[in-house]
Amino acid sequence: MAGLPYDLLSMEDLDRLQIEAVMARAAFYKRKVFAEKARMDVLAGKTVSTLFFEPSTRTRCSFELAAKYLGAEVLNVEISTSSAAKGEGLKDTGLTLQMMGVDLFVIRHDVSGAANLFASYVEPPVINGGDGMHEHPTQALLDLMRMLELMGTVEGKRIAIIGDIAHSRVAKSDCICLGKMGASVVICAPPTLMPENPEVLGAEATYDMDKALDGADVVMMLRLQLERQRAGLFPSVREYHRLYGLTPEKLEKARPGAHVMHPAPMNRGVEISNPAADGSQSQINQQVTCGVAVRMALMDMMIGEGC
Amino acid sequence: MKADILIRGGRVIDPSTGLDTLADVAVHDGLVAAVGRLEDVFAKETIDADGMLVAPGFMDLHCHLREPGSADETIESGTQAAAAGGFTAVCAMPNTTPPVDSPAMVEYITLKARSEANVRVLPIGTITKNRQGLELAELALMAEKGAVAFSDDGSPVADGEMMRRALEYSKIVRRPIIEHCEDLTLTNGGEANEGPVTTWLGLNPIPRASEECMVARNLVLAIRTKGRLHLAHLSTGLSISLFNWAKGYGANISAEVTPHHLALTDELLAGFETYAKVNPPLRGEEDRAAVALAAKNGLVDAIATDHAPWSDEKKKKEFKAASNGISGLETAIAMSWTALVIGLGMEPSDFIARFTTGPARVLGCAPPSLSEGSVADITLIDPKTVRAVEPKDFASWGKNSPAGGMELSGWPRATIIAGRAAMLDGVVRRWRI
Repeated sequence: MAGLPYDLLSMEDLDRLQIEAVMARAAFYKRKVFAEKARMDVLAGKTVSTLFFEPSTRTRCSFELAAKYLGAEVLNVEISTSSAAKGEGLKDTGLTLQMMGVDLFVIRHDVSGAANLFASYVEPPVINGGDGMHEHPTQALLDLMRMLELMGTVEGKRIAIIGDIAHSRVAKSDCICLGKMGASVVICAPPTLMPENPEVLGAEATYDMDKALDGADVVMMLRLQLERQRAGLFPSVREYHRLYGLTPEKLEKARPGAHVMHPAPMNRGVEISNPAADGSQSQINQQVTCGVAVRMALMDMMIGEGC
Repeated sequence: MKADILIRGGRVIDPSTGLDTLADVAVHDGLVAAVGRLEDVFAKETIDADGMLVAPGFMDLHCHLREPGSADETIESGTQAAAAGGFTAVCAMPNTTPPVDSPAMVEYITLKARSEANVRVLPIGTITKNRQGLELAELALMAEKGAVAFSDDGSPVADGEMMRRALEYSKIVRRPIIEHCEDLTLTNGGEANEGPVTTWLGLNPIPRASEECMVARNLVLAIRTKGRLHLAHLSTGLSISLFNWAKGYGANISAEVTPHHLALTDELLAGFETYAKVNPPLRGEEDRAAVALAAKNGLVDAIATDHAPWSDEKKKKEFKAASNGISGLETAIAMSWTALVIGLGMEPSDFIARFTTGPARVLGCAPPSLSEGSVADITLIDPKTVRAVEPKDFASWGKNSPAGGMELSGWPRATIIAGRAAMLDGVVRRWRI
């Protein structure tokens, strides 16, 4: 089995063999937990702490259940960044919890690089649960897992990622992960929401949604934060939806039967219409289950018995 | 003849006179006593300068000594860093707490420097009261107390009309208005140079236009007012081109670049390295090369450190929350030498000019000189020895250098001010006016 790096801060930290090992373990745990209703004790006696400086009930619940299904103790800590003194708050919180016996940290933070900084402070392994506009590696792994379940491989498949690429940690991690697995990724956004040098993401970039959809096997829609309108990055929700929202008509431009994905939570009627979100091609709910399985696999492989 | 110090056998280069020859330099009673093949000199102290460059004292147009009001540096520690770095005179930026925005504050800096500084300190006053950009500070009264220039550095003068009035007024104070060129509406909370690095790390980008738009505005105002404008820390190729364009209109302008912008790029930010976070930000290779070329060919007047020391308390934190700035006084000469003389084949005499005659021209003062009878401010440089940067050994309280471990050559070997050594062979000596 391919060993994992000490911390998981970025999709850059994993090579293809390691990603495949995580996928295999995740598939095993998904069958155990969701088909056989089994509960494990490979993390019995271990304590996992989720440390959320940015609220996210969905991601926190996923990590919490993943740890509990493996028999670990879970400590959830939510800290509002407004109340935490910058820097010192991160360091002191981490060291305090470490001294209380935490074996693995999951950190979510609204500032890019916070997970790297946190990992430099604390001794136990750290999983990046999303940091600012930097990365969200576990989301990329769960997206990959669902794609593998559906298609067997992503090698040579065309994956369109559409939306606010410039501010998206998910798009970044997806691009790195899918690139390592041999997929051909196209990113699509208006110029105001496209990063300055999209080529560093290893993807083809276009402003034209029809071009992005053409021949796509998977259509990944990204959440649009509505405050971007006030920052002048798009004029109105209806104009954005017209140009970059996924509707059943737009979806027809993709490969027949193309899979629709979204990291959630969705802005229905903004980046995705209700019929597209709830239609037969939507994988959005299935992604959630993969999220638990992938996080179980990571925790087991990072601090479990056989790690 | 008698001498306090005899510098024996160095290559003496003096851009103020065009001298470039192997010679001895005798210093006595604070002045340059003789230059040439000197025999029968009875010297109290002899420096063997074989293989060394002997230059007039280096001046830094732009450093932050952080006094009053900060625990990150003092006039004493900052000027010890200057002596260690080969500088005989430094201009102190006024963005302190409180800022140096009145004649009393200028006098305070002067008096504090007299009792505690280890090199000459030339105070800079603010352009506007409290650096707020709303009302002109008392420029003429500050000049009377010794302010050599005016700047709201750290912030731009955002209001165009305010800048226009400051440039008009500079004509009666005959001192440069030094502008930190940044359009804050374009910076818009940015953290690093917009490009592959911000995309990769997910940092808020600072577009190059943030600097360039303000450079263009200020140059137009300088052309129209005929005021005296100096542009601080230019960091992009387009900024340099705009500056050169305005010279064609006869504008009374000058400019500086920093060692870090001519030698380093934003790739140093990899891994969220906050020591490389600085404003203006480190740019990409194309801009770095343009800035280095401008320093080499004299398109810009001076190389200035923008020494900005910070404690780790302000630096070792989330990238977004970390302070901007690089502790630069002690690496400035070697970093620039390595990039320009080693890297681009710049003539040593031109290199020395960017730190001597260049800054003097910016300030409108007599250039430091090695001609006989001149004040003996002298910088010795060892052009050969290659050594790694070791920030923990800095005299500055700020250890925040992204150059730690870099192998550089062109290290200062001695700093002599008014005929007395403030640094010799890397050891800082107590020196007072």
